Amino acid sequence: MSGHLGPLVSALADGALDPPERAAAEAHLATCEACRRELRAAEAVRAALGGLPAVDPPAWFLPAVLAGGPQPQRHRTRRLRFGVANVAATAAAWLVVVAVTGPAPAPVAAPDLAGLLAAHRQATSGSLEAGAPDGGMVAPSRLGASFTLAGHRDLDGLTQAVYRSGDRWLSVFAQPGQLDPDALPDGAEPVAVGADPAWALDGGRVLLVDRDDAVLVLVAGPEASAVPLPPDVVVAGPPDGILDRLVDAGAGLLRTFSLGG
Amino acid sequence: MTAPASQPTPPTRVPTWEDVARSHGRFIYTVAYRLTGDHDDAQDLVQEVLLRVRRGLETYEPGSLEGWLSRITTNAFLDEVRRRRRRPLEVVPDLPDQVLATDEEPDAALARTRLPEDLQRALLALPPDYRAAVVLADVVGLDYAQVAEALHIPPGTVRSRIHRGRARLREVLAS
Repeated sequence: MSGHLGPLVSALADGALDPPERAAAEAHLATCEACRRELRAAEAVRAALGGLPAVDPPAWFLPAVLAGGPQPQRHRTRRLRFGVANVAATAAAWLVVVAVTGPAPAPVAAPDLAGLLAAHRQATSGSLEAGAPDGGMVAPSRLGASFTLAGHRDLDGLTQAVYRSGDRWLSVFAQPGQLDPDALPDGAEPVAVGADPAWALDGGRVLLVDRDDAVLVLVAGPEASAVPLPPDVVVAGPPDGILDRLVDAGAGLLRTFSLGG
Repeated sequence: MTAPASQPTPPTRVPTWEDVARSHGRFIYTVAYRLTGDHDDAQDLVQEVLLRVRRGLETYEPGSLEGWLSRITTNAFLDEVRRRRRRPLEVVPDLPDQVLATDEEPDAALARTRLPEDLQRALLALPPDYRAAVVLADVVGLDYAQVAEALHIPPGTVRSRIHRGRARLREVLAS
């Protein structure tokens, strides 16, 4: 054998040499301190990598995939992904998280609220239950204990997810871009949702969250959904308003999943 | 997905993607994270793996579920790397054979940097093809023949990628 062992050192450490190769390599090792050191190094790297711990996905991830099916990667420069949806156990805990990744896109002024309300109304007005609604809604699938992801669709760059719990409906829209605070509709009131700037609109039925690279809009309420909420759900105003529930849920989830909170 | 009628179902049954997600979701995620070093990318990769399982395009060999899944995961990873580069990865960046740059005992340098984050960072410093080979061999624990089969490369290439990959890891950890 000429020179040093080279790649054979790792193969030797891994027991991947056939007997003649191995005999020759061991003969060389007996006379070569440099290769003995290389062998120890290869073994040390292997041991270090082999000792790496398992990596847990975020708690919501696998349940969300199991519920909604694996989604194909979107081969776009901007990727919008629904990382998870809700885990609401009670009406007081409406939890919705939307994970958004990708480079920061161009600023947008403000979402077209009338358009979003119309989309919410249309999505929740009955066609979902048939399983083959218009507008690209996907089949209903269950997420979480009490709230269900009824469907989601892509509205020309705007992603909508619709959730229901009994008669209660909630839509979450995600639109790439950054919010221009000067372009907010009249009556928008700043509220606290984790670390993200957020505003309440329309008597608390609409919550707008400005994340780094997308604007999230949460829409709930009977006027917007065409499906009456049960009488114990108050639509506007603290302390029982849907806004509060959304704010609490959003803040809690942002903390839970370290999403900007 | 149903198995061909001629095959007995339970022992050789191709696992459904749901089975795989439930029983090996954490395993796939670990491999995906070691390859990508990023949780968002790992989540994308896991979904891609489950899609490939669901589509039944990957030949399943009963008995080596982890080997099968790690093969799908590394190939999905390398496909994504190639896609992002928009050109084939025919030319693998060559890593030179490492010849003993230091007199220090190799274990000593490694022992100082045994933190998982350090190792993960060092893994990311490897070219993707080397990283795939090292992850399959050292993180997953596949033997060289399995690595060769998973990556569709000859055994000699497996040897050199693992060896040079480990040497490069040491270099990064020592720097």
